[in-house]
Amino acid sequence: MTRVVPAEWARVPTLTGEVSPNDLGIVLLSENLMFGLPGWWYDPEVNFDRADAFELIRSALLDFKQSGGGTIVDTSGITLGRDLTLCSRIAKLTGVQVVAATGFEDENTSIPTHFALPGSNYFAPGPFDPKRGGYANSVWQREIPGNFYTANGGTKEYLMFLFYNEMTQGMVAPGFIRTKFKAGIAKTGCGWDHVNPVEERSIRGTALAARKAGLPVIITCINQVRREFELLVDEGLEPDRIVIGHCDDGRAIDLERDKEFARKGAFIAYDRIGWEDSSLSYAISDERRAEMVKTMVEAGFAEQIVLSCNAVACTITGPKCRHSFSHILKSFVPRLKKAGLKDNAIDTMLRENPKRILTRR
Amino acid sequence: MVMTVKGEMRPEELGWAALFEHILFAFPGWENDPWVDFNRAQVTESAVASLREFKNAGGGTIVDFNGTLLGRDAELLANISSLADVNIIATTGFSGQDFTPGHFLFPGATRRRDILDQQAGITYEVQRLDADYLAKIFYEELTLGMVGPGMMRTSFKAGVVKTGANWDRVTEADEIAIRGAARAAKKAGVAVLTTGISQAQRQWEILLEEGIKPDRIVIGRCDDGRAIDLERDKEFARKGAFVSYNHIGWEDTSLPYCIPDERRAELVKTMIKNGFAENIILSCDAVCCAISIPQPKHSYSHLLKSFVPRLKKLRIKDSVIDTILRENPKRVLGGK
Repeated sequence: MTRVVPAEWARVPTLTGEVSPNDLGIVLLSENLMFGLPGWWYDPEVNFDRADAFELIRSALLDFKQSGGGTIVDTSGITLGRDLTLCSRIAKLTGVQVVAATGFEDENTSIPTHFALPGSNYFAPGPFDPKRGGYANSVWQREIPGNFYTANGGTKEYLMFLFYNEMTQGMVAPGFIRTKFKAGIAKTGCGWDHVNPVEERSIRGTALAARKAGLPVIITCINQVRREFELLVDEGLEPDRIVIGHCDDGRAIDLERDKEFARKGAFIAYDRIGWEDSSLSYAISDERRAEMVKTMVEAGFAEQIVLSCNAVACTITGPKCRHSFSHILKSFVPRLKKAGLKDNAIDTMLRENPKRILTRR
Repeated sequence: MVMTVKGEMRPEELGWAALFEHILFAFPGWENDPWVDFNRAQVTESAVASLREFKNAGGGTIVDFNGTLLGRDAELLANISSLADVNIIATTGFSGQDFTPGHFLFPGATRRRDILDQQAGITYEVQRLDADYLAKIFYEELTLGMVGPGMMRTSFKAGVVKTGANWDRVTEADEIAIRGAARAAKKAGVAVLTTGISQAQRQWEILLEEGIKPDRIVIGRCDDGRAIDLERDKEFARKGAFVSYNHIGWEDTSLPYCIPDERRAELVKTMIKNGFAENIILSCDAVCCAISIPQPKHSYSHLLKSFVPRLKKLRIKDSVIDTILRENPKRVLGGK
């Protein structure tokens, strides 16, 4: 099936400008330059120092670049510590291309109430009118020329517009600011035990926006992957635009599931590489991960696998990350080679597959 | 003494007080929504006008019941308070898990507190979320100054603490926030205002466990249309707590929590007849600038201009009305 696509779709949006998909190089598809759960900026106990964050992220990106990396996809999304101006500056300095994501994950961590409750109503009060005992324009909703807009917060369309505008106009920053940086991927997710109605709206909205903008979607909750996949496809997203993230989450490893989704055309992401600390429920050893990757490659799915290490350069809320973005190239790739994987298979997973994913279509 | 955004005041100076009002109300996340059309100057102008109207009708003080996370803007409050010459008492505390962003929800999650750049590398000092962690945050909002987005501490202090819970249950995160609020309130000697009436009993138990005296507790939202129960109200009042009918003016019955003011007046009258005039608080939960919720049609003066005349029509005496609007807030906020 061919689809006529706009000319600008030939390029991938990064924080340092648009690049050709051929220039992405080695890509990590699921990383966090900075990570904090929403609300940390209300916490005076958090001693966040921008200069410090700058230094931490810069050294991690430089290290990645020097080990041979080309592009990092930052999957923080709207609310988990995305700082576009900071990261854009660092990307420019280090020469690493950073692709940023739009979207939410589960309701508790990343969909703040404003986006979760139906009936959100944007209102600017007019002058107070004592005669009426109220305000002029008291239910006043704003339409912005050129923006998609809907006033009702309780619909999937509302979230679609939010995400779509981030993909085509620019991502938002706190303070009602729309930056010039466009999202190059969407992520979505849900709670561990079930997809609640808010998350369902978010997943459906993500699918609609991604399909319209020609962008891929990465799923972050592996435990509900069947439902998430079903919802995305239900809204018209093609399976080959879907990346199944966290397939190496220690709580939900299932190679049969991975093969099943790969056969459907989706991409399988082993993206927790380096999280080996056994005190964390989702961590497993890299050795086991390498075995899984090897099994999948031997079963003929090399073209459906992506690798990433979900490293966090600057952690505000959450467990400290002991490895960095270069972990894949410095430690995991040698491990794969030792396990007998061929260079071209590794190249496919680190270079070709992400390129196919990030190319808009 | 009572802490307002303009500084400390004697409780006698508060005048007629409405304890559950909002200048600006928004749910967490609104700052990330480019469609929000927030105009500070316009909000200031509207709020000043409606507070002046409240003052002209006899009002003296409002409590801005937002708490830490729901669109509270300390500098805006202070500015509006000065311009309108109405006392504003700001609130610290959370409102229930559904209205709390992720950073404050996960008990085990560590928070970066400080980074010490040492020669050997970078050392993290981390803290875990528990009741004492939140108590420290709330206590410092009461004694040092409220925080604004960006981890900024303003010079304006909060004067009361709020607690809340999800509608169906007090979650683990809720309990941590309630205990934190109680510890901060006890240490600073301020009143506790609750919201989330469906879970009032559990909140009450936790507050008492933490050593809060019943006469420093206001049980809020007793006129929520989904949970009206005069027996419950009488029971709280008998134990010495204050019961608050604070949705006065919310009459749009398409919303489940609304009831007609006529019915509210009946509730208040029944409580007074049962001898609980000294345990009643009235407020109208008006919002000047509603960002994530429906905009109410009434403003702060509705309480004095419409509801008080309604009570008078029901033959409630002026002295009783004065007790409810002046003496009760004075006692609960002032702690005497």
